[in-house]
Amino acid sequence: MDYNIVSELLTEYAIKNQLQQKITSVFSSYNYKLIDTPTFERIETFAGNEEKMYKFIGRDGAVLALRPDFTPQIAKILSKGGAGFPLRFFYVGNTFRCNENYQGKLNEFTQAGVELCGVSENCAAAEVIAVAISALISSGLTDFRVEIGHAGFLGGIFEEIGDSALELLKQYIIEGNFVGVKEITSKLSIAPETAEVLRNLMEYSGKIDFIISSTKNIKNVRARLAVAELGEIHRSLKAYDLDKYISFDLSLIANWGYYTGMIFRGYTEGASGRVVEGGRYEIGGVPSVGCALRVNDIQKAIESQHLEIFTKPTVTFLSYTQSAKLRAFACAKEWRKAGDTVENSVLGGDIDKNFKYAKEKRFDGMVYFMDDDSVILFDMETGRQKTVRVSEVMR
Amino acid sequence: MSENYLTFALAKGRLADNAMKLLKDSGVSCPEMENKNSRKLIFTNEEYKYKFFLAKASDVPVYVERGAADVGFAGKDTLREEHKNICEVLDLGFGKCRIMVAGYDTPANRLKLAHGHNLRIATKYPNIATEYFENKNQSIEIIKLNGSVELAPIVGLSDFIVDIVETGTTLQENGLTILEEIGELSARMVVNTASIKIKNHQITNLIRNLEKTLSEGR
Repeated sequence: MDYNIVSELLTEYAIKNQLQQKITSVFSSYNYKLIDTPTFERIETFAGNEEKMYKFIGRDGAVLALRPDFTPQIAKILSKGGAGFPLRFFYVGNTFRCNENYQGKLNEFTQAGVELCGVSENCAAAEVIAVAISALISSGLTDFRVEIGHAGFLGGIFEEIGDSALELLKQYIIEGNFVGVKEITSKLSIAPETAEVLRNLMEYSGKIDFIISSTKNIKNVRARLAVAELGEIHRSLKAYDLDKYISFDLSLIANWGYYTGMIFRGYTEGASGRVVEGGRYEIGGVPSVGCALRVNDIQKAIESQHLEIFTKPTVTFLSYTQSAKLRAFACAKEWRKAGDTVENSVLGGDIDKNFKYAKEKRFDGMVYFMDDDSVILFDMETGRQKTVRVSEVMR
Repeated sequence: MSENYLTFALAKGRLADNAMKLLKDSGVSCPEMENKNSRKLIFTNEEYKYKFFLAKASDVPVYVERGAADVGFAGKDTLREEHKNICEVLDLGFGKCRIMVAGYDTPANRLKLAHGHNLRIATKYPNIATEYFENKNQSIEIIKLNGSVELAPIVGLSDFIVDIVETGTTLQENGLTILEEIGELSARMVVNTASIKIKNHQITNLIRNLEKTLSEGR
């Protein structure tokens, strides 16, 4: 393979690795603890949406699946023992879903997320949103938007419908088919106020003040409660000084059906879907809030927005004559201890050959150990050499 | 989905012409596109930062889902067939037609269509056809064609066809009859799920202007 291609690939992996580190260090800074779950387990653990899972048969005949998501696995862990709440977990790893062919969708993708378990207050919802936004900021994105909604809003409105058309209506709202929603609404026999809410569904989005004022005539208790909760979450996020990244959207509805309260999603230019998704749910009967960032999509968005986020390490190339080898290794050990990145030469003692290689690989510096006492330093730009004593470079 | 620009994908043909007219009436124009001899693939309105391109009808939902276009104009038939994760925000009212099951109108055929199994169906819309007959609890065998679907029952390739019908003239001239109706269709405006959030202001304004033009035209 051409060296340039390898180098491109390696840079891509390095960027992803740094991205994951930045995101998870935000998680740690809120004292979330890393949790590791099996890549596959019995399919019963992952309820729902079976056709999108990769399935296979285990030795005992049980159906196993590659994890499509981390949350069900964490629910399983929680259900095993009543440890002291609140619990804060974070995870990072690959998840698997079979998508349709030829649509350019990944079937294996990296998720990084948190779960805050055992807290039902709104401060937990605000905290998880704050963690997600901070993680997006740390990733290097500057221009992104987090939309916050509440499952209770439409949940309340749906109670007033109780019609056989409810399933179809839900499906249309999930799909974002507003034409269909209007069509169904005109056929339903429901209170005019309820129909009004459904018809205006697309309009209930924007700043919190607008949401509160445009919904003030809605009488449904659950819907009102949901809007009030969003108001409280907004106040908390303002205290975190993150409110400029958020807006509200009452048409958000839970895709998987497990969200019970606040729901949120993050979008940015260059990623065709959401880069983060989260909300409040019950896992194993424990009130929780969680979110998952889509690392691959974030990386793609950063690339398409031409953001420079990668900090390339400074690399020194270590070359030596056969007789100075041991001395060179001993010195390099000290440098690495001090935090430097040093690559050992495997090219032998030919100075020109070593320099050519270092130049090709765009190393930041090269040293050449002549003997136990003297070492040549190379200026990579000009190729100029300077011979100094080993004791000088060790300082 | 290029920065600052609002990108439109239009289904080639009459739908695109109608959509461009509607857009123009609503204040979104592209003089560059009105030159019919142009061989350009993408048209730009630098003043208002719009980009337009034409695509095969069935590809429009793909461009929009993947974010290559923020907004798409396509027929409901393609949307139902492709079933992509995109927001359908507006019924444009034009391009009205119905999607039908058609075939020879014989008592045997009627019976077969109502209660039979293993029906052979020729269609450009395998997903719509499958969904329809699944709901009727009938098993079918799909023969996917890419055009001139009416030919299939005439040459004995299939028992019935599932296709869109505007006037029904082609069917009639070939001795075929509409036997069942699957649904009504028209042109729709669709939006990428991320664009509708990120470019919310631009897109909401656009929807409002189009709605206004549409209601004035009625």
